[in-house]
Amino acid sequence: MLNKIENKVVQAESFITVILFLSMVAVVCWSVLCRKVLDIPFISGEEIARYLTIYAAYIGIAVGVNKKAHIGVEIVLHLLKGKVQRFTKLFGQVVIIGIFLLLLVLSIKMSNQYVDTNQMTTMTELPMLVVYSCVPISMFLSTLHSISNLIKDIKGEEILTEEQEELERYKCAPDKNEEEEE
Amino acid sequence: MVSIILFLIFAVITILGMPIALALIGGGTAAIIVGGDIPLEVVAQKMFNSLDSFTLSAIPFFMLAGALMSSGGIARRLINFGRSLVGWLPGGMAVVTVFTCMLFGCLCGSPTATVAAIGSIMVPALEEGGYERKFALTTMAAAGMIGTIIPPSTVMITYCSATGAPVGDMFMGGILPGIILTLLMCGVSVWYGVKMDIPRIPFSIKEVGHCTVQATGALLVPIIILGGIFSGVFTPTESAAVACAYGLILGCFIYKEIDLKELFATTTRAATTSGMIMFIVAAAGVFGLLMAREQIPMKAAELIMSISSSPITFLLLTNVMLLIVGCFMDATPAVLIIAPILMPALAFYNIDIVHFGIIMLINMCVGLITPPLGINLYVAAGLRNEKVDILINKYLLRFLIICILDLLLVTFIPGLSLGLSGRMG
Repeated sequence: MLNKIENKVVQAESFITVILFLSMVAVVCWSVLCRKVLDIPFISGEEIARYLTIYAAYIGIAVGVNKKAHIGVEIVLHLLKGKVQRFTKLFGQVVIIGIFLLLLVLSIKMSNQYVDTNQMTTMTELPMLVVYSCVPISMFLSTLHSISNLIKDIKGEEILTEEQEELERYKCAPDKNEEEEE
Repeated sequence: MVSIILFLIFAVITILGMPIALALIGGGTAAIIVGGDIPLEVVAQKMFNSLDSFTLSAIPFFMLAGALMSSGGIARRLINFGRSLVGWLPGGMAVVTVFTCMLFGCLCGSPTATVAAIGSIMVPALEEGGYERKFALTTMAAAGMIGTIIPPSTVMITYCSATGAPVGDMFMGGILPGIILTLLMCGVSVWYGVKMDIPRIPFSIKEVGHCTVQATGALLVPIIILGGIFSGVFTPTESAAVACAYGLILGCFIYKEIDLKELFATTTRAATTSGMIMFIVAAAGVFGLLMAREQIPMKAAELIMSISSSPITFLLLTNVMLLIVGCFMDATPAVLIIAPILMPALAFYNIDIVHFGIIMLINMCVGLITPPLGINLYVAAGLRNEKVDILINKYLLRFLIICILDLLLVTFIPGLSLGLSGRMG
């Protein structure tokens, strides 16, 4: 049940990042085209691309938490054995949840400063609140994912990390290519 | 006191195996609480502001471009091109591996993606050609690091964002050291081919022509990216976006190897990896704020200067330190934490910021293939479902010696990293 809901959330996050990424490419390419070929000014392009990138990065952070893609130094963890290792891992997960929760609270406080001020961005005149909201949104999603990671860890379910996934993808690649060449 | 807390909490969280980004934020937050004079909301504010830069936008773009290139059938075309061009040499297939990794490095900034994309095709081919499995995997792991030194490289962009070095000059600076490393690695391959008496592939000019035409689409990418930046047509970020658009057109419409489903998967992968890097950049912003407040870089500079006044001693000591750090830490966080600390010292020793950046980059690249944590070793071993132990052999030692040689050359000859960009004065 939990897995199903989380998969839906991850799918939605992935969909949003794909849209953000493609629009980033479009905006920057369009601004290059405007400047070099069409000779029409499109000065807000840089600002739009910047904010899209920040949004994409912050949603990407949440997806990364789900896939355990955020790198750490795991040498000590590998040296530990049995119950001590398991306990350290679970303890680590709890600390991770704690830090994400703290960041969620802090980022909500930060965004709150912009609720009443009506401050706008310089070129595009978007409310600053919308721009800054990416941090609390991302921290909220990251907290959710890290809680679900903890539950999975307790249950002993394995989470395929980003690198393992990459390897799984490539392991079968040679055969496919050989077939194609034949 | 505040600086002790900053580093202590960072170290504890890191050692417990949690993400580096959270360790940086944890250390920073704890230090703010102890210091007591900055409001805690600054943490969130700084996390946002650290990413609010057009230069940094290049990272997700290069990630996407790299992901598109590694799934768009480009790797295979580049390999065929390499095979027709340098495959006739003794140890030809190994030379092709190294050469293709260099070409692929011009398209893709990620060493692990390079090892996976090139290795999945080259490792079986090497074994079929009579090369030992351990040599094949080791060559793959070592060659995969070249891409980080050859521009474009995301580590270079993070270095520039942390120190203010110009991205274009950094990109230029990586070219010669990268080519020297490639040539040295090719040398090892040729030596292996001669020693093991590996049968050679005949050279055919017709084949070269055919493969060059096939690979033209891919070979244009470095020309667009680097040519665009160096001629001043694009900024680095714009060139990365143009490379993405070009990669999309190439993969979807010309080579027709990326369908909608693949595009979705590729972009999500790029988003995850760039999210990972950007999280570290954001977190390093918080950490850096505290470091600056506590004047840690100035104190470090004073300490270093009291040890020696010779720039060469400074660079050699830094090399040793960075090599050790590189064994345990990934390039991006290491650059973001260490580079700002060493900046004031650079001014004192009169060392160019780009020269130092390239030295740092090569050090971090060596960390990709040093046991126990060299990520390239794990990815390469994974290609054949082997344990990483298979890669810890005499060949790895040879590749490591070569890397150190390249590092020393770049350290002692500033012209290698500064000559092309005209920073030599």
